[in-house]
Amino acid sequence: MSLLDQNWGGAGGADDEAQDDNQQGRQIVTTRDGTLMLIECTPEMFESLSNTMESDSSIDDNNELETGFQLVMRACQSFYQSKIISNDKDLSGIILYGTEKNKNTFDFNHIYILHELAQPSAERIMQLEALSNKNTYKKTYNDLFGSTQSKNYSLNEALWTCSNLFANSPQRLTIKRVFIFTCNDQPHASNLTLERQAKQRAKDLNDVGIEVEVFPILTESITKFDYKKFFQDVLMLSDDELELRNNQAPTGRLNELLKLVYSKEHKKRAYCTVPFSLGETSDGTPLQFSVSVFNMVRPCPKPTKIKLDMKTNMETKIVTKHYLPETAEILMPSDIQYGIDVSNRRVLFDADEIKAIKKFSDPGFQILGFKNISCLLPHHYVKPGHFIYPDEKYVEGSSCLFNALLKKCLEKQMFILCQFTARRNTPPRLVALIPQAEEINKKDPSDRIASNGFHVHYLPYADDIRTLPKNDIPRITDDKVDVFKNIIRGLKFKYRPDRFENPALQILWRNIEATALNKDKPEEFDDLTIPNVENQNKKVDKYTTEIKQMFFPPDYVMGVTKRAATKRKAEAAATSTSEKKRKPDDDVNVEAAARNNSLNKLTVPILKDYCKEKNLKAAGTKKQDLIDAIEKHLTITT
Amino acid sequence: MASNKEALALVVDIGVGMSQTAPGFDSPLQITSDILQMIVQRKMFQQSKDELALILYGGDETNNDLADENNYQNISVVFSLSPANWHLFEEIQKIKPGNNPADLIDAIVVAADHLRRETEGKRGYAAKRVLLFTNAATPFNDHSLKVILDSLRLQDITVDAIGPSWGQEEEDDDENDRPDSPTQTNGHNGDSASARPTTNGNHHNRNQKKPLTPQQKTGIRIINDIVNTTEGSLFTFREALGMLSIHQSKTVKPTATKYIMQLADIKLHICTYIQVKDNKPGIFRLKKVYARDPKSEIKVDRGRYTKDEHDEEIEKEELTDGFRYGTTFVPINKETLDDMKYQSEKCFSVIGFSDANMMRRSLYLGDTVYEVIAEPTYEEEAQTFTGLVQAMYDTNTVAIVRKCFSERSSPELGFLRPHIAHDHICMYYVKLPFAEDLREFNFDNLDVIKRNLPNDEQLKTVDNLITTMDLSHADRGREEAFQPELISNPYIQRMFQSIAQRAVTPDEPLSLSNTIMEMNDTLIQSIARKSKRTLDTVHEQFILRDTNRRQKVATGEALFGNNDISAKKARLEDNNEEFTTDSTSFEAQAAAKKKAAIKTVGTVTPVEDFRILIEQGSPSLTDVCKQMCTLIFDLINNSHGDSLFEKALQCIQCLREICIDKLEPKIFNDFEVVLKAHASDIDGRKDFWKKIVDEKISLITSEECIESNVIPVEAKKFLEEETAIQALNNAPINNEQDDEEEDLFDLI
Repeated sequence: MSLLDQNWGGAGGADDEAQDDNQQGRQIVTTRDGTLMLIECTPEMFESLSNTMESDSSIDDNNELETGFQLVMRACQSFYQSKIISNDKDLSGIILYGTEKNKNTFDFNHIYILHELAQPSAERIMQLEALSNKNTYKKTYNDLFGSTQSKNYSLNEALWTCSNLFANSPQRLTIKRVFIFTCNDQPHASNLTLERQAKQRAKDLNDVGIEVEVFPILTESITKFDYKKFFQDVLMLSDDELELRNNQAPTGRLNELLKLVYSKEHKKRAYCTVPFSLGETSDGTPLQFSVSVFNMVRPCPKPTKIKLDMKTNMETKIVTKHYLPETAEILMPSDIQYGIDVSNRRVLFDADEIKAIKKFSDPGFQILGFKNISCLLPHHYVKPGHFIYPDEKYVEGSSCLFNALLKKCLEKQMFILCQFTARRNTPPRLVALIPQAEEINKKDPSDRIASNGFHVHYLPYADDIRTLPKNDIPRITDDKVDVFKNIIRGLKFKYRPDRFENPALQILWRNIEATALNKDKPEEFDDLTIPNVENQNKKVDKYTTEIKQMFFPPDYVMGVTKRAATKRKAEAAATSTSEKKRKPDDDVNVEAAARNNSLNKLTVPILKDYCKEKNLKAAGTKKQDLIDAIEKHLTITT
Repeated sequence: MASNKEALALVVDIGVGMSQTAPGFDSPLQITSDILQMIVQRKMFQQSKDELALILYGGDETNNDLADENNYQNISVVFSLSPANWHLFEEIQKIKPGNNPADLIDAIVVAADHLRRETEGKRGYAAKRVLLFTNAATPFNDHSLKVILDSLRLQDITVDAIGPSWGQEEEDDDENDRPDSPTQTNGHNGDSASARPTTNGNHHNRNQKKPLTPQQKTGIRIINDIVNTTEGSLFTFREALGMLSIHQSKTVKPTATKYIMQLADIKLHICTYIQVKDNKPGIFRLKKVYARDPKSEIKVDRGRYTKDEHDEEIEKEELTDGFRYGTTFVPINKETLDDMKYQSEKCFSVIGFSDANMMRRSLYLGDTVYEVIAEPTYEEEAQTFTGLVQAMYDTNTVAIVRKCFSERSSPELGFLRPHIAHDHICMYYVKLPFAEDLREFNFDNLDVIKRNLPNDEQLKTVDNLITTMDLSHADRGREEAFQPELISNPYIQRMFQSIAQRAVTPDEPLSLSNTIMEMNDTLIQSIARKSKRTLDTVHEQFILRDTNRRQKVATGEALFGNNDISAKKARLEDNNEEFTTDSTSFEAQAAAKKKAAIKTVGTVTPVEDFRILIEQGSPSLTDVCKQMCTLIFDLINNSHGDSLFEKALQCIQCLREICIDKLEPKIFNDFEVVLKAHASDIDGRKDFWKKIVDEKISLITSEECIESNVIPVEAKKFLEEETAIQALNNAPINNEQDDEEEDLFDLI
């Protein structure tokens, strides 16, 4: 899990209630989290970094970051930048302690609030950039916070300032975190009172749900950070955890912060929690359990374009007004009806009626039966599906029944066919619930590839499936097919869904960032979706040459559109008129159907055409007559 | 391009024989009328260009071009050949039984003549057809039949006939018959999937079983002859109703999108066709119209305004595109934006191949399944394509593809799955997610908690349940039941029915049916019967306890309360009237749900919300009033002109009433003081205060409410005076706009 992740620290949990509100069409409750960076500014922070702390070159390309302070500023900057992409509604802020100047509501000494708790902005990021840049950081620091550093701060007061910022947050925060960046593993070594106060304050923070995390900074002179001295009590670490911490490389989590992440964060909550109905018992008791529905795959939205007022560079809003064209009278919703024009007659409905037409049943799954997995054909798909997992909150015992269904469906290779209504006024759709067993990466037991549950796969209705002409071209002989198999073998790789980033989205994100931060060029992006034809050729050149020789005349150029298009069109038109009523492969159709005993599935005109062509005399014009005649002709007895 | 519409003459026997029926049965004429209405509706809904004519014979009237004193009597062309419309529909509804003799052969001649006259010299008719509705009970003269048949053939007119029966025994119920619709022509024939007869609750037509008269026998023989000669078909009423009971939207002509598929240095011309896509009939597109004058369509004005209290309209030229970067607004002009956009060429490139088993269905993205075939004109390339499909099929692999529709569009990732049938070879393309589209959910293994582990007995029960409810061979013909290819979207069916119903009887409430359950009634019931016993065992063995938490949550009741679909259905079967009650009670239900859901005063129905919240008693009275006050300010501030003033006034009056009622006059009085101050500050809001004065909404006086310390004279003065606010209430009023709301709360 990443530090950017809003469920970091394991708090989180599905926020169903918020979702239920959402269903009502009421205001969507956005969950935000808040992060405060509490940064020590003692002289040690301006020493050169220890060797272990030197961050990897991918982050620090020009060896810019010499001191701990610069490194921390860069980490904050990356954190802001990543936050803007991942979840720009989240709030963050920066507080320095040990500074000469002070800026805070309580006039505490040596505590300076650089950024109040707010959404990140380009200005903030550029300021941080100036504070980490090799050439500018010193001057910027001195101008802002004063040139000397002091150790006479109180961590208690610093934490109190954090707590106060959270308390005055204009927005409700679901997760509150304080990240302490320090190279001092025992800040109040000489003052027991201050130490006691700080520990007590940390405990208070914990009590009101503020998480504290420490990022140790190691320098030339400070090469070790012992959590036991002080921070064990601040972080409330158990002895085991302490052991783990002390043995951890201090760079690990800091590097995670330093990394620029261009990825949107998704709310980890259920799309809805609905009843799953199996039917009724003989005495009419409805048999229901409860499931939570999750969206596992959804297109990541592009940043939305907004319209700005050129004069002020401020955001604008759209005001939608409905008015009558003749009188320009502004209308209220109650004045509006909905019309559908059918053959010059306007058919009218109220808004409520339109809703009622769409409403079939209350949200939930309604079982229709079970089917073999093989009944799912390749083209049975209409829209992205969901994943369901049992929910014990509304119906206790759901998990057990769900689990039994899952186990048996997996064993028997069956899926559950359901009618699913997702929202109140949404018409139902047929869904296939495909069982999914848990899959664990064999090499890494902590990596769960797939969780157990059912995939909800939307099935098309008859209305959605289009009839397309048959494409029956002669098959290629096996020896030739083998050449293609060689190509496939040569270009085979293991597809992983997280392997390809969206080039259009990444480029846009990077470009917006570059414009906002006045950068010359956007961060680079490697587009993996463009196949490297050169490499491909290296691997399969032999076989593609073979194929060219097999199928094409020597001077043939592939993929070039023929110019004689007009002539071809005319030809095609000529054949299509004579062939309009009948497709050439109908005969095959009819004979195949006859063999499968499914002639009655064909349409009368097809049967009739066939009879006409083969000069068959049917006993009458009824369909059965035609079928009889064909079956007699093909000497199939029924 | 010449359209290939059809000219169709509906020839209807309205003679004596057609209206004779035993009590309790629909007359053949009645059923004919139903079928005709369905045909016409379908033509209108499909926005078909086909042209129809309606010719009645056997009535009192004579109205046709061939008629003279002695010939072609009692045959009337009531609707001349033209596209279906409501006029034709109404003509059909007006059909009344006649009792005059008329000759069916003559009627066909009139129809053929009418078709000839109307289509002569016009282009675009692919077929001419006569659709004959009769039970052949009326005598006719067949001496010139030979000539007439020749003439029909010469004109290429097909004659189909539809009647109660054609001499054979009625087919058994479970005949798995799927003939093609006679009204469908022009190569839509492959559509057999959707033309399947389905039991539909709305039609209780029953045919009368009666031995045929000698006249009918002769008639049927002749009709058979005509139909055979003209290559038409015979359909029974039952067949026709079955085929027509499913509404169909306009069929979409498949159009190819062409690409050049690249695989290493092999380049092939390919075509993609939409194979599956959610069908949203264009005819359902709703127009917003003015309720008091449905003829006038409402226009929508979407103006841009500054996002501050000034609400100034901004001209288009003064706007620029931009993005939000955190809280920073980044203006970007159009040209830069185009430069910034990802540049791609049109492409369909194979990145590589992967094991087909890796393509979990849960990864599928997008809203379309495309069929991909080689472009047939490039024969050699088509062969190469076929070879590739075969090789992928044999090795069970899929191809991962980068596809980009044009230079202007974003590239997408997808995969090709080979498909080979005995007469068809193609690939299917479905979109795949990018890394950004994945949401990493992790769910614990259910077995970790002991309570979730089913015991052997429970597993056996579920095993039984799966067996009894196995649909793989549950169809009448022991075939797969509920095949997606055969299930119509209930919403589309219901929408069409609602349109038809509203168009014909505009004043009646809608009757809403067509659930999947109703449409596949018999099948569901048989499965339900079979599974009842197992469900009882499931009920015994698995303990499911409703925690009743739903009730507390807004939507709970609705979700777990009355989800009893089958019971509802039973009711519906008993009495069709229930449909209407159901749809009206919908509103009541909705209201009840809404009531349960309200936690705050919303802008849509603030007065109702407010009253409900007060009634509920939580949140506290002060809180609810606070909300209401804030909302009133919102309404006033956001009102363009005085559009929202009326609502705000209602809210104020309601607030006043409640405050009197609950003996809390101070809340209202304090509010009104702030309101007055507010009104005098901001431009354009004085007009609202004026309304308050006009409406004489004064402070609550001691006469109205004993808790108030405002005497009536004071109240009057308050409304009349321009200022003097401070004097009255001693409230510190801060005139800075930003602090207004806060102040308000301080006061309260």
